[in-house]
Amino acid sequence: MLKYLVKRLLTLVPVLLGVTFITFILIDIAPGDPAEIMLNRRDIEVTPENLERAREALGLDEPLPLRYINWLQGAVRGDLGTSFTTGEPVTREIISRLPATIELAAGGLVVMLALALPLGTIAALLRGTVGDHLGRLTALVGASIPSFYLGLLLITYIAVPTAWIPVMGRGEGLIGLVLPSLTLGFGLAATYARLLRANLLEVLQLDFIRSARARGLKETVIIGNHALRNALIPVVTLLGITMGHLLGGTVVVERIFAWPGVGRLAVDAIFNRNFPVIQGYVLLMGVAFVFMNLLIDLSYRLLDPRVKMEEGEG
Amino acid sequence: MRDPLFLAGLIMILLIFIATMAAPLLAPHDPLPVSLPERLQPAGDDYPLGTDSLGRCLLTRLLYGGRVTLQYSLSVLVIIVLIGVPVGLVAGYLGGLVDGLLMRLADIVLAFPNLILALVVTGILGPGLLNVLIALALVSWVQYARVVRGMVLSLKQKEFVLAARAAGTSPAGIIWDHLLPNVLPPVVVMATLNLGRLVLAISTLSFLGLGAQPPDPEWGAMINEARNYIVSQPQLMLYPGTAIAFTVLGFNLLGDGLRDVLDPQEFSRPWIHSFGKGGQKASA
Amino acid sequence: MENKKKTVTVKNLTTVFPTSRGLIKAANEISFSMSEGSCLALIGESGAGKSVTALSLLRLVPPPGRITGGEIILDNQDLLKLGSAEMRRVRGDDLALVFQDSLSTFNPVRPIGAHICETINTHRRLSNGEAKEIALGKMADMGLPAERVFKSFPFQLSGGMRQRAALAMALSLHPKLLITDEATTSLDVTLQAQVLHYLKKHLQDCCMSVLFISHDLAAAAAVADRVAVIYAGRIVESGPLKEVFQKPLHPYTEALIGSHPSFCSGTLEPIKGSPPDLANLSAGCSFVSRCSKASGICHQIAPVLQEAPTGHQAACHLLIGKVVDDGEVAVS
Repeated sequence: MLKYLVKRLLTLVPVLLGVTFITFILIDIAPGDPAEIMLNRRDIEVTPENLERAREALGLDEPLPLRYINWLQGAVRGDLGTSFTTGEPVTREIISRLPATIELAAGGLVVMLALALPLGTIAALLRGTVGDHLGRLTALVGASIPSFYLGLLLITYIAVPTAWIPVMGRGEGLIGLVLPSLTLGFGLAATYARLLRANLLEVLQLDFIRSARARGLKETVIIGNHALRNALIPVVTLLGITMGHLLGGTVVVERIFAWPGVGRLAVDAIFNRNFPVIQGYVLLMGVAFVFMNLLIDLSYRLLDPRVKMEEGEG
Repeated sequence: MRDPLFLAGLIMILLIFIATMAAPLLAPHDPLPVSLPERLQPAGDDYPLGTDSLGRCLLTRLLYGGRVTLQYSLSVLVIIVLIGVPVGLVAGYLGGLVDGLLMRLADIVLAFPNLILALVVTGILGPGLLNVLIALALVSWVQYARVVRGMVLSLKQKEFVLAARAAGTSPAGIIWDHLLPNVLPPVVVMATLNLGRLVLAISTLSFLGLGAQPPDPEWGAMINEARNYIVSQPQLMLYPGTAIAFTVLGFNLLGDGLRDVLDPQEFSRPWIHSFGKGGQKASA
Repeated sequence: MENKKKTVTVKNLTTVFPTSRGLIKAANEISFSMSEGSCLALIGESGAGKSVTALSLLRLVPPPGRITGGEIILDNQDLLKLGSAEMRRVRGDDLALVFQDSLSTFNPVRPIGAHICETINTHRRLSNGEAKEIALGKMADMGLPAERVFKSFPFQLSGGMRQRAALAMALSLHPKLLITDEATTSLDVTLQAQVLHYLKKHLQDCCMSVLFISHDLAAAAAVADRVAVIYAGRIVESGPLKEVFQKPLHPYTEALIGSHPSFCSGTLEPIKGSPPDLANLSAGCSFVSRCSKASGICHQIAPVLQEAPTGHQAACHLLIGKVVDDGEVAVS
């Protein structure tokens, strides 16, 4: 297991290097002089001397590959440079915002699973009935509503009228997490419910289900203990892609709900052309996405004992 | 084709297309000029859906906004198909360095949440619809290249390609005459399925303020402008929001239906079929 | 016929499948009875209706198929009259089924032991320890390394071990009727002999009946004491094993034996033609198109099972010996 983990982690290194390097090139060809932008953001007068000093501080007088290597060396030590706007270390800014985003992503995941698992199962059991068709339509509609629109709808028609669900910001306990999580997880839940339904129907056709019935097992046990678990295996493999949607979604949700996470930090950085923060955000998202996929891989192996065997570890 | 939802999708998309493309004919007003005295008017004879916070006709902006969303979605799609398909064809057929580079690039791009990548690229290039278009094209074409490459790899082994090679047809000839016609139909389906997602991406980036810039109308940007009035004037976000959902739903229904038609599994029930022939399944 | 108590009596069991080409009678008026400790072999070609009969007995016919009539008396109650919850309690307990493909018997992602304990716990109020005890005991009976198999996943075992584990599971609650549906077919000869040996041993030790479904005559001959031959959804001949194999009455049985290497001393005679289209059966005997002895009446009237002087039954006009060429039947 450990060997596998190390192997997986090593294959991810080139991916991270590639992403950060591409970002570097993009920033280099992007309009605007970073040194000038930094001076502007910090309200320092743009004089030739100041520009020269800023350039030196940012290492801009060195060629691109060397600058990238310098950045990498810093990144390995946990130093991602300083923010153009605040002058704070980027690492510290990101870390202080990270818990809020993790909380939100986890909430979205919980909402997604809490909606998708029961709804997908029910739809499979109701196959071909009016309920099933309604479910298909609901899922299609659910997957078509942009999350920013859904978030605003929830605020307008649930949070404001009821007045007891906080609309903006974080820090009022779990209740404040409800609407952002719902916004984040709903569209994905619709997709997953459909996927689970299809998988369940497929599994229920398999012979071992028939033989479970021949053993006199209750239908609830057959579905809960046998069919669902097998139906979840392909669903779990797709969770990797979903994690991407969740991470992408946090940017939007954080903006709507004034959620103080890294997504908002990134959007602010984008408007301020705060390149060190953008670069740090790219690295963070790459690492996060990569690690989540690793986690999914591991849980996949827990669900399906056959995987280990194929790799000769069983 | 018998699927009523597929038909519904087709009708929805046609409606949206006609309404938005004919915007200059249908729209009662000019989408851009600000008229503060007439701001936040309720729906009436002059303004069928009322006016927005700057006194512009909501219906007019809705029609023109859809034009922007659809035009840009289609442009992105055309660009990524025009880049992705040839690169996939060449990489799959010739292999070697091009193929190796493509696969490494695909590893990197596909290892990343698409929206985040587009967001960062737009952010670095600077806000604006053109940059959104570039960013989305930049992060999306790789998918097509990879899918096409996969198809070419299997087509390469088929007799008709081997025969063409044996007959001395040039690689370009084989790609053009034999591979491209086989690759196109699945690409068309993939593209249809992708349009809904592109509409969502463009409106999302515009909502974040990175796409369409004021005063240009665009559905996502219109919702962003409506944010301060969601409680007092919810219609300002309801119209563009519903328009986005309607369009995306249309593409999704269309895609769903197409996929069903292309997936033969849905149509055969193996059990009874083989049973009638006294096949293995019945006695298994 | 026999003095022993009848455990199973099936009367006129009929199962149909609606298809686009019409209603298929996959099991057509199936009747047989079995006594305690006996083994009845149900033999026939693929698609003859063997598996449908097995699934019908458990009332697990996959929709849109359905049982349209008959009786299944097990232990003095008609299974077809039970509610679905009562029927569920019978399955796996009094009535067990072993399938052909043991890989599809077990859920691929759960260990073997979990399946057996689950079956036991479904039907008996026992602690987990006691259930495990039973499972290990039964597996040891089957000559399996019980502890290891208990923890193994299905894919980790050989086909023979898996099939024996499936048998152990089926036997774990001492069913009154065990149905094995081609349970030894996919095994190689030595493993087959092994499984049959265990099956026979169990048959003698416990008071159960076994319905041994197979297209393999040799396997059937090794365990069964009675044989029923099924063709196109109907039982065409049944009787004591020796009687049927040595003096077959129905031309189909004759042909079946003639086509089997271990029973035919002379040249192998494959059966001509193929089974009839069940959706499109003619009025006459369903074997008529492949029968070398068919005469006019065979094309017009379907024969019914008749008791022969030798003590077994067959459904064939020739049996009566009074076939009239112009189609008139002598009523006996």
